[in-house]
Amino acid sequence: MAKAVVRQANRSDVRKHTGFLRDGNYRWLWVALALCAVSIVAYLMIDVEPRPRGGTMYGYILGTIGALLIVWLSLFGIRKRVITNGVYSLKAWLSAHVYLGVSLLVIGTLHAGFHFGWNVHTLAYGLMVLVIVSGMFGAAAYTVLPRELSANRGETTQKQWLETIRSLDAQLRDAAQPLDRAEADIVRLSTEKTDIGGSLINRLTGQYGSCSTHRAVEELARMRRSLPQAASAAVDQVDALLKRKQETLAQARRQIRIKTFLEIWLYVHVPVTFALLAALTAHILSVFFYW
Amino acid sequence: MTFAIRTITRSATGGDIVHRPQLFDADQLTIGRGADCEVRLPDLAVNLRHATLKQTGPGTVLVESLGAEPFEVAGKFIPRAELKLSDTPKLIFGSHVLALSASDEDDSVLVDVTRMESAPEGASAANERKIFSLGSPIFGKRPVAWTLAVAALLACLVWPIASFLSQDRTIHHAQTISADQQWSTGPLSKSHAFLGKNCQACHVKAFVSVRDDTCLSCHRSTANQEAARTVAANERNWGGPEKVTLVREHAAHDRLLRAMPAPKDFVGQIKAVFQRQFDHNSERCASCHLEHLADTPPKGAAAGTPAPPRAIPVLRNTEDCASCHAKLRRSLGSTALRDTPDWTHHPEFRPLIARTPIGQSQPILDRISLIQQPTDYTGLIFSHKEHLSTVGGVARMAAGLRFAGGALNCTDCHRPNKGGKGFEPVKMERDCASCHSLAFAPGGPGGAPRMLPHGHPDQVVATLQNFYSGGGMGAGGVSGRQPPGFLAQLGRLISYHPDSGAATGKIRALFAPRGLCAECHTVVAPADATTLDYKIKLIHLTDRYLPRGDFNHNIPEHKHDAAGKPTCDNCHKAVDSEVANEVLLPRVSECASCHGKTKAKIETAASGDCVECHSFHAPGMATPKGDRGKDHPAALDSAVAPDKTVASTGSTGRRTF
Repeated sequence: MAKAVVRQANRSDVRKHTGFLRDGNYRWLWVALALCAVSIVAYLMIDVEPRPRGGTMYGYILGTIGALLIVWLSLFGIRKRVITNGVYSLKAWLSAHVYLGVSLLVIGTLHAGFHFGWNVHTLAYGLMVLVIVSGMFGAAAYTVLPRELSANRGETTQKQWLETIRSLDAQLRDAAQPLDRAEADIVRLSTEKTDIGGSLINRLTGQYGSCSTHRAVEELARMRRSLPQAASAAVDQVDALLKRKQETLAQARRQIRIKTFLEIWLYVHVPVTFALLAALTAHILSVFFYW
Repeated sequence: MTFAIRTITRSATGGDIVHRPQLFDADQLTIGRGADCEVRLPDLAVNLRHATLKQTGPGTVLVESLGAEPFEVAGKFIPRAELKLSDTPKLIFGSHVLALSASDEDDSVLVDVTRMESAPEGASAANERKIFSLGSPIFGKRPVAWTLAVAALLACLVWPIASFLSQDRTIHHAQTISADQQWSTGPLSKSHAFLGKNCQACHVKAFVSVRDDTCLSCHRSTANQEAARTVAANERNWGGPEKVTLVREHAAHDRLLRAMPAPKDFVGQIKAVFQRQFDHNSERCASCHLEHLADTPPKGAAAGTPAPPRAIPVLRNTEDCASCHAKLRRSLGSTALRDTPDWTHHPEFRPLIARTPIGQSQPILDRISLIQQPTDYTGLIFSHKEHLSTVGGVARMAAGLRFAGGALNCTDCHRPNKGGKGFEPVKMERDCASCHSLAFAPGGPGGAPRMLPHGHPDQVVATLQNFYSGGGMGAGGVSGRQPPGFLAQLGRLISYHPDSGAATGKIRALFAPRGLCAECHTVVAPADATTLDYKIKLIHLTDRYLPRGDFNHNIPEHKHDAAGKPTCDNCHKAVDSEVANEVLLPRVSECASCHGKTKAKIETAASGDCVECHSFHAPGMATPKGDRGKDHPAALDSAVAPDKTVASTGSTGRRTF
């Protein structure tokens, strides 16, 4: 009986999804807030002559906490490749990663005593801010976009869209067999030149103005306007197929755009983290090198 | 004429499947996508009727395009080609290859039609990841990450360290770009800005905090002449824009360290442990004098305006005076100083007092508290009371000589020094001789009277002997305005006869108990009464009674009252002093009457802070105020420069005649 209850509870847990931000009833949010609050209160209370900076005792303490946090946060790249359950689950870890990462903004700024310059120390700070801001973008994206992703997909899959496009291409090639050169070229434009994903700009904006299939549809329409005698069953069929392909492409590209937003920030977050670790090493070593 | 068309397709396993040939008995074949073509290529890149293939002779064929589009033979796109079958030419139409050859069996032309393998379609499932994920359009994360990390390490760590290791440590001139400048946490103060590109001027050893020796190589104030020369040479070599401030500590370094209280609170103790462990002690020059700290930008400055550099390094007080001086006796074991936890416990002034010397030897100087009402040996016979009195002979003479006010004032003899902070030493010739004239006869250089040399009894004797033996005798007597008493005396002294016997008499009269010298001096008569070997008892006048404290006489409130009347006698009770050995210094309570015991009693008075009269690096000076006050560098220099200093050891600020 007891086992059954436990199983029931587990099952209900599994069914009820909580995002990483709400994990453990916002446990890590509170930890991060407490860390920031203690840092701010201590900053205001400790009177540092002539002004707060990294080279004071409080500065060293904040710097040590900050550096350890940065190293620990960087280890998430390794940790995320192992998925576990429980309090130390990947989700809890991610939750801590997000909240403690944001709290670094407070800790890093107080460590610097709001003092910045053109030097390796501010370089490390700037890189840290860049990593945190890109991470905040990522957290926001992962909170909002997955819903849109599944809404756009409906009951289909990426593979199915590709199959559809492939099948439409085959049908287009067949349907165009009786067509003359100019019309066949229009079909070839769509079947051979269409780049589904497109450039980074295409992916981010969702604008595919120069898409070959769009151009093919337009060309065909123009041709039909200028040469009404060219109308034939085959041309009609090609036109219909091209339009169906356009629809499928649009849906696939919405998916691509959402996925781009889900991924793009990592292209800042990860490389800049590496640069940050290097700059942080230089920052720490240089301070003690020229003590 | 026969054409045999064989279609070859690729099987699933990769092998070729050669279909049964289609035979056409015709003059020419049409190649195209159209259903009416003999060689039908279902390829949209091929025209409906693209080209014709005609046998022109044994083993030769002619291929001709029917439209504008050419075909490909041997890598060239041409509209017409005459080909030899023996060459087994290959015609390419779109994605199809037509290989022509002559049949071995008969004279028919073999046409093998093959579809070329094309790249997988864009929408193939293999491309799913590439299409839907961001991998392809921009650089991969890892190469960028490693590139950035390595670049940052090279630029910000390896380069500066390499440049540190490669440079020689001697003085060198700043380069245009210094690799290690990027490590600077903030601008150097203006006074050190010239070292800005030369980090190693101060950061001599890696991972070792800036040592005092480095600072003192330019700033050391030392009594050792050779060391002083080295300091001066360093200063010249580094070429700073300003004269350096020479400093010394106000006590021996080990005593300063011993006097320093141990941290009482837990945080302080932890701090001390770390400082010891990391050899980053708080008693270094650089612990209090902080560099690389920009000033706060002026209010209203636009955001992003770089913070201005400071004039001199920021001073951070790690300890105040009281933290050591409150319990100095306990921490040092033995000290002449009283514990002074604050201004209310300031000990009574202990001026430098000269003890009566034995014979002509220098007097011994002692710091004796005013409580003991010490008497100070001067060797002079002098009454301040008589000189400052508004009635009597002195006042009459002052009136006769038209001194301002009709009588003598303090400043008639005590002349303020440059800056007015203190006073010039009193000099007989300048400050006394207008009344106590040394003139003894007319006919001196330029018509001025002849003067007795002051301070040298032997020369006085020689001068008079010379004069009376005829060496300096001239006509006329003493002219000019002279005090009546003096004229009468001179008349008694000098009879204008070139007679050495007379000279001897005059000399004896001069040094006699009621003679001119004896007015102010104690004359020591010659042991052998037949000689003229007169001596004057040693004179010792103290310029500075309080060598470890500062007082500025030039502050208006110190100088005069609201009505402009001099206030000397508020502190110095000279009007009642009849003998020269009285110490006319005020008690410390006199200072407190304005400066308060805990806070200033009058609005204009400074607080009773130690630094108003003392300083760490120049104990005889008030602590300079402001970043670079006008009295700062020079004042500190003069106060602590070894040859001028008034310190507990060495020179004593005395003036001996």
